[in-house]
Amino acid sequence: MNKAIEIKDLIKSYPNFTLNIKNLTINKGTIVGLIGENGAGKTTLIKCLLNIITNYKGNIKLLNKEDIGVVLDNMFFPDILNPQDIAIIMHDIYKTWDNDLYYNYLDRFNINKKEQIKKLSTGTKKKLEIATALAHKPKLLILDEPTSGLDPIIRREILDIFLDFMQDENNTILLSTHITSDLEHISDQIIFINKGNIILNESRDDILDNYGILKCRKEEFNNISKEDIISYQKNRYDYQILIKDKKTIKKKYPNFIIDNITLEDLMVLKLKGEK
Amino acid sequence: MKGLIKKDLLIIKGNFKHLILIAIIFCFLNTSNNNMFYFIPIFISVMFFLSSFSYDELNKWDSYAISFPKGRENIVKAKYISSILIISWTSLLSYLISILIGKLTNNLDIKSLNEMLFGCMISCLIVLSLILPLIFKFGSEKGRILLVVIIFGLSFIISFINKFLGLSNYLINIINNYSFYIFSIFIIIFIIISYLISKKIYKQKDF
Repeated sequence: MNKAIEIKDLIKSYPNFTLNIKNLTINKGTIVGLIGENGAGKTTLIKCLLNIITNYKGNIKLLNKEDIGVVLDNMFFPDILNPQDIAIIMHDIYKTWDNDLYYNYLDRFNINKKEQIKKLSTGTKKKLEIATALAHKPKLLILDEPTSGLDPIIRREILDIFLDFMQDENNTILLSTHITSDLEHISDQIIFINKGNIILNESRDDILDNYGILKCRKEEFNNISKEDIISYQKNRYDYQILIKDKKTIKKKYPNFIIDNITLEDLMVLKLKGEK
Repeated sequence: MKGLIKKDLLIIKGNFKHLILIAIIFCFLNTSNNNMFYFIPIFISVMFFLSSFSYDELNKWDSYAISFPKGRENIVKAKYISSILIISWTSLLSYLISILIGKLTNNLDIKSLNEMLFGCMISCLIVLSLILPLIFKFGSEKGRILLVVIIFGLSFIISFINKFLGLSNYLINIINNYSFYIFSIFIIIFIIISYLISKKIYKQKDF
């Protein structure tokens, strides 16, 4: 099987929200970023994948749980335990748990193995969660907001760990985050969820190469053909227009500035821009 | 599953020294020579065990543990096994202390100690069998409140039956003659039913 995750016709309904994923495939060997607003459905999707939510319709296929490592947002061991306790417990949970590897990570991350989890700083706790997820040598990492609340230095350190993990080309990462700049560094594929639906699923390179922001003045806006506009935002002095197929648009409107796009721009313009 | 049992035991490990201290205090308090005092730590150990659910909830442990291999199935099984283990260990500890004190004070009545120990264990196991499905369904706070409601409700029903149907003498006779066997079989069935209900509740629970 070349796929790490395969979802078909997934529907999970709540009174005010429905997650509806018709078709989603994540191939092995890729880092996939899941982006979207708060409440867009990212965590619900991850919970469905891990069976934390059960009553859904549709089909989900993914690797064996033995091969999956998880880091979830604010879900972990009771905080009166310490990192050493985690090793004692996990040793009996995963057949592939490697104590040496785990303690290596603790040393590398400067984590005191006898300190209660509740006494660790946010960054150290996150690193402990990642060490725990990696120490049973998973093939798929599912990470929900693994870098939120962390300073840029720790974030970069954690992203390096993920890149290390991806040295094995059969390994896969699914990572949800608000910090879209992290994904620009490491991801291969971006999945954008809004109100429970996937509104974009493309490779990172395609997004960064093809999408762009055309900037023009108010009076110039009417010269832009509507079919070229995905969405736009009025600013005080100019208009910012989200466009696709940057090269063609550049030829079509040679007098306008077209900036490269960041994932954050894309998210804001897709969600908040007018159509 | 062994890992999950260890997790519960590690959580209450910190409380274990308190439990020994409580056991010793109750032994000294036992001036009226009532064997019941020796076994109070068993009830307290059940309370300590139930606190493990609060720690779990506080850190959303269940969601995390469900992602482990056979997560849902093992979480329920582990809670039942660790609770039985804890009750057994505390019972053994209390029993040994009571025998020791009985010998030291030349006041050892093994038969009455055995009866008291058996009664305490049975009561704790009944409480656990009632409360575990409630906690799995409603969470630890609501579960504990509901347990109190159920115990009052059951006491009311039993006293009602006793008063109006007059079955008490008949039942007491049977219980007196065959108590060990009846209660042992009853409690095993009770625990199994409780476990099956908890398993069913937990299988469909969303977090």
